[in-house]
Amino acid sequence: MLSRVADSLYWMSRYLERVENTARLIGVNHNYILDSVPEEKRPKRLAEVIHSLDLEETASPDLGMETLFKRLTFDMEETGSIVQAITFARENARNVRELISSEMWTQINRLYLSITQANPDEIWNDQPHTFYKDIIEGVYLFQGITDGTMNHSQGWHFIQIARYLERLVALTKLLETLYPNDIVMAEVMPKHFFRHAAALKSVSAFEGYCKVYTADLQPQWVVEFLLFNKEFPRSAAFSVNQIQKSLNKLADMTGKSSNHRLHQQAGQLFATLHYSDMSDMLEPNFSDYLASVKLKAYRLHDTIYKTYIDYGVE
Amino acid sequence: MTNPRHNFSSYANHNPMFYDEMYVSAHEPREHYQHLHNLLQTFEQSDLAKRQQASDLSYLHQGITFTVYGDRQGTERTFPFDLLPRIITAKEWDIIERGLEQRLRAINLFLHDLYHQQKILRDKVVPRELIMSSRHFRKEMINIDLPHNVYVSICGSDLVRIGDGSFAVLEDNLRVPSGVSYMLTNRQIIKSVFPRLFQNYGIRPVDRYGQALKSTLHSLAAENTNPTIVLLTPGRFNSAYFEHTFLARQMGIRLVEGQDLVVHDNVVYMRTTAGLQRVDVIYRRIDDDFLDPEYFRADSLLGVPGIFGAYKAGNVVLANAVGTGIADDKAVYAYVPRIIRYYLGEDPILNNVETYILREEKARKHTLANLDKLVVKAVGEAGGYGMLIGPHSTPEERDKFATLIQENPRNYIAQPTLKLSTAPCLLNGELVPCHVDLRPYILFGKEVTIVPGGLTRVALKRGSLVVNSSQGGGSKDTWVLNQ
Repeated sequence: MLSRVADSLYWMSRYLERVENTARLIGVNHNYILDSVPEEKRPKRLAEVIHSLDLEETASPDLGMETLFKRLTFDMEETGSIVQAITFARENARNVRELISSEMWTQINRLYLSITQANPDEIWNDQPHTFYKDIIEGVYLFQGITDGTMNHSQGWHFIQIARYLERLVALTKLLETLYPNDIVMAEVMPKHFFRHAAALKSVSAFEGYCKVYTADLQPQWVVEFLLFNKEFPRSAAFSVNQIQKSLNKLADMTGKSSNHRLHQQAGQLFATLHYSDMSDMLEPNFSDYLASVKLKAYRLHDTIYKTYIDYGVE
Repeated sequence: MTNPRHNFSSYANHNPMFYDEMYVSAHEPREHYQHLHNLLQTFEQSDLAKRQQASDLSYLHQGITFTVYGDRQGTERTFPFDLLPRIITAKEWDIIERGLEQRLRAINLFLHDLYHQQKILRDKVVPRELIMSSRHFRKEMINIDLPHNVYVSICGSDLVRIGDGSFAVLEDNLRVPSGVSYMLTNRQIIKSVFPRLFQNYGIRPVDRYGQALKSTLHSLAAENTNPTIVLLTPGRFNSAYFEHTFLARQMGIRLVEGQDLVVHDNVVYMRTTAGLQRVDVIYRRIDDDFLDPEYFRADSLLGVPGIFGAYKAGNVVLANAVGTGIADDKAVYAYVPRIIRYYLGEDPILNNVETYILREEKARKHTLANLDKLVVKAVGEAGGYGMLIGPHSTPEERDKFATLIQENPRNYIAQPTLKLSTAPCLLNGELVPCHVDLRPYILFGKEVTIVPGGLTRVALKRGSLVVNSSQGGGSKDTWVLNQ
């Protein structure tokens, strides 16, 4: 497979995952803030959303909720906005249009049009919640179509790697924002229930968590679930497992099984999430642990690029 | 009272001024069109409209589109398709086939000579200064030897039927001719729209074009190897991008862009996820100018730095070769009949449209005396700008051109105003004569292949002579009959 094609599929997939992630974050927080955040605490809450999207440089909580969320959704000039991410995802899909299935193209195109042709004011006056839900479902549908209509060859594996790597990075950012060291260690107070519930819902994890720990929301358990649960498809451990599986397949398919560095790095990341427990996570402290996971994920991206896409010519 | 069933029983708009492909007169179809004519009687207008709609939708759904430039969004449009086929008899095709093969054989000999001994220039059959002053002459190609001495492997020549009903060559496209994907998809669509008619007609198939193109490209590689062949496209913003993806799929070869290729030690590789893979033959759909920023236009972002070096070293084959544009230059076109006689010692089977070379005194005198009847074209560097259409010109314009011609006769050719043949097209439910041309596709490798048919382009506007897709032109399926 041409490296350029792999590159386009990879970014198509990462941007789509970003669309889903941002849409959910906005949808959930909109609900949460309206329900249970008093006026004076809203700026802090909005700052958290901005931080978990890594957008401190461009967005500010001073805008107020509606303006901020509209911008993060519809403003093409806003780095990290949903409309920008779907546009980039579609551009990448367009570059490889003849290689993805026509059903995939139709779905990504449909999703793109539903976002770019929407009227922001109408949506906010009506039911923003439904709008964000539709976006998330549009991405699910695309993933289902991809699994069901595309050959599960190299290209498909690049799509998987990209999706789970993006998911992993977004999760670490979310945890970094919502769970600074003192909160992870704290005993939960009943008034904090909604906050932890919103955190779980931001990654569709509320129901999954309750099945394992019941509705008793303890910060340590929340992060434990989101990082280490092996069955929950948005946990860090699950993501890393998928990444490693696809990397192994790719290595077989391209005859690069002997690439030491890539396998070492993927293995380290895997070990960090599969063979750690709470004590490792808190030693020396939680934020250092998260930072090391994030750094490993970034390094893995670089090595994937150096191995398959952007390698030197010698 | 007219019965709607008999809407197509005659060709009310028939214009005897022009040769019509289908009808001799308003009521009399040519023999080989009789079946089609009979079939038309059985259709109602709405029925034909339905079939036309079905074919239009089919194009849209398959994404068979070309890009209209100058639109920010890069609008994609379908190429209009007229349902009624254009039919060519076996006898006519035989002449076309032999004529095109002869012509391309001579052109390849001509190109080889120009880039080697230049005998034809020394013998003064073609003026040296004409060649040397053309920007399409690539000095970089001198003394480079090519496999089988083939320069033009893929050619699309534009033929027109002139007044007496015979075919003549209007233009050779020897660089990167396009449109063959429409020839192939038109056929697919007409088979689904008119299955029964098609079955009864005895039409030669065109589907093997993809395979023939692949073997042609293969034959240009070193023998007994398993060459890697790729199609090099400028990318999805190019107006013919659909065709590039289509042909790559038909041949089962990779579609690459300039950025996918790298040159190392004069060998071309493509960048794949499994590492660099050597490339042996490139069907390039990029003009010479953009091919290699190190040799040609330095600002080209579409090409591959160093690819021309690899080419000169004989490590990669490009089809078509670099420098073929010199032979389809308007000024050189006029000499093709002489080129055929010079290299092959044969009379041309297919003629040029009559062309006066104004550097020659007799032709010049005739032209100056008949400026009101002729079309005068500038051929030099600024070619295309200066053009006089005699019958539509004012005396002042003619005076101006007379002066221009006398000052610099080398820069001009003249041709009679063409009477392109017409063919009936369905426009708003009636049969309207529209002007057509024909572009067959010739493949020239170790052997010559011409798929029977081609792209019939049609000016889908009453009276218009412009058949270009960007100017409201469309196309018809082209049927070559078995007998």
